[in-house]
Amino acid sequence: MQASTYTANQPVVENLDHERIQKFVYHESRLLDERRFEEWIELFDDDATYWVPAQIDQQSPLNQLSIFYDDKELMQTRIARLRHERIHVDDPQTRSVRMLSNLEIESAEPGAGYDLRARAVLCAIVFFQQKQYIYGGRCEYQLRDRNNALSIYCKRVNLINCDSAFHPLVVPF
Amino acid sequence: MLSTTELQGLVKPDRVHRRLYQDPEIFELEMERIFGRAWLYVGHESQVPEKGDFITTDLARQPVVMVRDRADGEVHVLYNRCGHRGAVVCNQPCGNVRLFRCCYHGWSFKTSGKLAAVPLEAGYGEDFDKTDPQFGMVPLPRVANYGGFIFASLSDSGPDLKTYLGPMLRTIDDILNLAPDGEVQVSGGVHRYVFDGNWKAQVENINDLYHPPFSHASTTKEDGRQFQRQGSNTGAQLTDEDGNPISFWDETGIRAFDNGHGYCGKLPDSGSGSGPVFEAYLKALEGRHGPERAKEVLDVPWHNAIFYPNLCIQSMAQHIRVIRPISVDRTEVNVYPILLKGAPQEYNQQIIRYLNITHAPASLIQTDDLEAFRRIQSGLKTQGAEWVMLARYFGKDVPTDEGQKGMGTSELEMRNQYKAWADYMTQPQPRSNSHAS
Repeated sequence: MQASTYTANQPVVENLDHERIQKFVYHESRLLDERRFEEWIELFDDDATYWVPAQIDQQSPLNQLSIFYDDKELMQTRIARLRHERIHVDDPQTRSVRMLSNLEIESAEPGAGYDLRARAVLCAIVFFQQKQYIYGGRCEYQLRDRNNALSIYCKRVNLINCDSAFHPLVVPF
Repeated sequence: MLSTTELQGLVKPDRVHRRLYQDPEIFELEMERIFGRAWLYVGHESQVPEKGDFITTDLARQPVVMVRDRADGEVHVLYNRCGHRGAVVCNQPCGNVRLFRCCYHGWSFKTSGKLAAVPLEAGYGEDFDKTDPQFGMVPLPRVANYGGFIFASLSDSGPDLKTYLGPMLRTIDDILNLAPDGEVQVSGGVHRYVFDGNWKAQVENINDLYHPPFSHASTTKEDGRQFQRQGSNTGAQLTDEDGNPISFWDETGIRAFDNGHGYCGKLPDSGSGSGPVFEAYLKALEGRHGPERAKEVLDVPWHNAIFYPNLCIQSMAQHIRVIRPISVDRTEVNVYPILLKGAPQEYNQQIIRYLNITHAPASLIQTDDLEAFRRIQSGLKTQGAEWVMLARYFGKDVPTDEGQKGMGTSELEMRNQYKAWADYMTQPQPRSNSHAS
């Protein structure tokens, strides 16, 4: 166990269970690698959002377009489509592997609606329609730690090339 | 070089040759003869609201900047090229400038494109004429504005914009009428996607009403309904409960006009809406038009409008789609929400939210079509068959005062596009003066 030793804006929080949270985000990431989408969604709370902005430092998912901006219901629709036998864009199935690194954890401000913030650098390698693509960015998790279980209130993925033109993106980051 | 006869031979009334999608020489000719002559959509003036505001894009692969003049507030479209050694001057997607300044030797340009200053100017001879437009950022030969939609032509000759667009002007009017303040705003960001395919596959797709039940099968539930569309209570019905395509796709009809333009009829959900946000919007709209007229205005009689060759406007989830050919087998498409001035903020937010679902690079809809375009590019490499069939309901199209109309799932729209294609491509024309000098 080790405490987060650096934060940009927040006071250093001692006694956060780094290893527990690391395990959680690794697991979350592996569920996507292994296309275990139903289990992946289960990590999100009912009022959760999954957001991949289309602009650097994008302020709002409401007033500007996003690459992904899903509530739980839309996540479920998306997953249902990924399971559909005639999803042409995912035939053959997209493969991907994610590397999470540089994990930083801090506790949330009181009243934030969640308990912890975790940031990690993401490198995703995606094999899509016979070509390999590399995506890089930073994942920001807003996590709840309730009843001894971690859950996701918000996952935001800030891709470094979020405002560039993309080939189809099939599996969430 | 392909002769006029050879080019004409590649397009038949009900089919086109696979070379149209595969041959780099044809692609180069398209850039010169179609994109080099047509009125091309550049951007919307609301993207450059203040003096000195600019956006950069490309037309026929050539970098351009659309800028609002600091002096008179006019919107110009300039080639994004330094008048000295040719470097791209403006290297940002958007911003605001007092002057454009080249990174290389510091030549600077007014927002009209005129050369403003040359460092160490004395090094040039006495005959150096700073007012020569060639030393500035050269304006495109023709620029025109309709309802805030800015078009430009790389050619100094040809019909004016209104003549060129003809009946399509109505579709812009219809969109403007949807705004309670009578103006639209393109300020909600952009979806940018690319595909490994020819640009014409995207243009063909826009009014292809034959494909949705098949290409978009993965978005329908067992009852054949798609997920809920913006402002409607239910999802679009793509198929009947047995999975068969339903008849409205044909009944909604399709219209084709000169110069490759056209639109398809409305979808069944269009003009309907419910809930407090829609009610608030409707009230605002009635404030402008009155209740009767507001109802008419909402019932937009078309769904997708193609402004050949590089623009589509959709009425239901209002957006602009711009097609940017990159090479014979690569295309970028940009999708911008059209926000309605005077509508409740939540109503415009619904447009944005919905457009994420339909047209983001991670969308649930457009991505299946992109895969089809990619497979077309790959499949047309085969030598077994030479022709791409566009024969659906061929011979059944009905002439109208303005052009032709056909069944919704007719391939009339594509036949009409290739008629325009052949007209452009078989008219060799000397490059206009602005290119030759």
